[in-house]
Amino acid sequence: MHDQLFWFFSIAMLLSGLLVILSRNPVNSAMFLVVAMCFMAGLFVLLEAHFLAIIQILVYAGAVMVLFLFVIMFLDLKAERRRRFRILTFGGGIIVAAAFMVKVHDVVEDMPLVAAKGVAGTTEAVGRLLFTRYLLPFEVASLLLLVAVVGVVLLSKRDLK
Amino acid sequence: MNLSSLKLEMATAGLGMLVLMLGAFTRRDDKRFLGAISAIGLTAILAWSVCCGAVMGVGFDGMWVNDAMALFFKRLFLIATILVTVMSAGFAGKIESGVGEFFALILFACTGMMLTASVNDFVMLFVSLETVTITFYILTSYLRRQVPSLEAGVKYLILGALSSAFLVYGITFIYGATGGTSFSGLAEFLKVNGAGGLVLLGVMLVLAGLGFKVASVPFHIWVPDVYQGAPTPVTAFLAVGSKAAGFALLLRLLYGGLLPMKATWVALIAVLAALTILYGNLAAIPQKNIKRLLGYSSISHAGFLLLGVAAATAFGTGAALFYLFAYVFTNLGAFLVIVCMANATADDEIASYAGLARRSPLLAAAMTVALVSLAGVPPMAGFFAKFLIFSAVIGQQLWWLAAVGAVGVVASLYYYLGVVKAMYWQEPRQEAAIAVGLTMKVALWFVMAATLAIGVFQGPVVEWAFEAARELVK
Repeated sequence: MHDQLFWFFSIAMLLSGLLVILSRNPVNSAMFLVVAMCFMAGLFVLLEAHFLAIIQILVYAGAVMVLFLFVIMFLDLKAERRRRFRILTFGGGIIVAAAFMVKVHDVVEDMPLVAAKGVAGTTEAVGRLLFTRYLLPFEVASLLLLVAVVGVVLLSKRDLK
Repeated sequence: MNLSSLKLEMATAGLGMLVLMLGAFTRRDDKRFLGAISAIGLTAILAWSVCCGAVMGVGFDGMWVNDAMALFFKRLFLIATILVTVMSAGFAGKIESGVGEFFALILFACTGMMLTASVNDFVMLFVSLETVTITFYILTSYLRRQVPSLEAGVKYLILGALSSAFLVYGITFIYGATGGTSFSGLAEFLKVNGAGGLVLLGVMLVLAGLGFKVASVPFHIWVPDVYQGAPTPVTAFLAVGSKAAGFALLLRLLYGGLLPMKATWVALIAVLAALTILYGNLAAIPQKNIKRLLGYSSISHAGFLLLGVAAATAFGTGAALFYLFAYVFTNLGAFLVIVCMANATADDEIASYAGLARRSPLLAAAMTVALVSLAGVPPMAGFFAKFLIFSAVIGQQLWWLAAVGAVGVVASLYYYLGVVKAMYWQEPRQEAAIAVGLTMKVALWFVMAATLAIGVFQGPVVEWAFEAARELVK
């Protein structure tokens, strides 16, 4: 069961990932990205990282993608124009991607998988880590968010005064 | 010990929030006094760090290290930020809105940089680096009515996000291989298992991400456009602050986490250093815009700093630290002049600098001191910095690197002195004298004096830098 689910989620995720870059309409691309993220959340559930799975759907598929869609609709993007097919660009891209995949495959082959052992992805475990071992980065992130908020207000408000 | 070792950072962040709050209650025309508050506050923090504010040691589960090197960098960032704040006060007239927030963001960026100096863990590395970078995205596009500033902001955002993606991707691989995020854990893993496979891929991706931040070839593409388009004080801060933060992280990572694979990274950094020096110096030659010229020159200086890192000794690291210190004063001197010139002539073309000596002898002199020091001519600070770097490289018998460095120095003399020639031996386009405000005058004199003083009486700074380096390299 576990294995079949893994194959189902990963193949579905890859297919919708492909559709993100292949569809010509930006709204369709964005929607396929939502689908891909939901399937990825399924993979997280299989790894027993429930917290991550929920966050994946709430934050990425929910909040971030809604923002994407807002921007796309505000800008009123038309379907992408058909570009000339350049064999050199295409071939070059394929070669680079293939070389990278071969390298990653070699690496994954002898992967020790230390991290997967005994790390529970439950809310409790994540919360405990955030407030004990990773307290300092957690606090620094609040400063980072403050900066981001100030920046968004400054760069987006309509009148300068 | 944990919280008290964060005193300096907390004070700087608190100062930033104070300025942010005060900014909301000040009238538009009075906002420059926020710059004064920032500068005075930072000076107080700097003084505090010298007298009693520095608590040494390791904290937060080994994630945070306050040693001599961290303190060196923190003081360096404080000094750079004070000068940038003064520069921004001279530049404030050009900022349409949000002058108060501009100063606050500079303070937050300074906090982020100070955090990078003590990083000993990948999560902390990422968070502190992002604090610096995200602040700079905002600062770069601050003049949002002007197309060049916006263009610079967008370019920096896209390439910066790409480099952060590299960094996170790499950190993931390292976590997957070692099961932890600490530098020391990585070092132990490398000692036992050697470098290969997953962890090597991760380390290379992290180094690529840091390469973007220090602007080394082949991760330099963003530099010229961003430097040219960003508001001048921000360009200056990028050139000295953001770059130094990148080097602080690089040194921490190389000596904290990657010491067991030293032979690999020495070769890698030596090649990157050579390419960076050649590219930066040769591409700077045909430049017509002074900020773009300094952008390419900053690439070449990243190359010289990497030379010191590639020497991989306490001497080489100390030389790189001294170089950074000299570079802060020298480079900020040049940018102070650019701010004054842009206020008077409204552009940054080198052609507008023709005959500057007749229009404002002080500006011409300050620019000459800065450029001559950047080129590495005695008796300026830049000369002694280059001298130390070259001795470190030759001490390690890396003759080819020293030769590449020498080619770079010769090429740099050509374009730096081209500007000096324009200032002193060309007819000005117009004769009107350029007025320089009192604050800027004081800052210009101070920076000139410091550039000369560090070059002539190097002793204390060298000692300080080498003490920091010895503690790191051991």
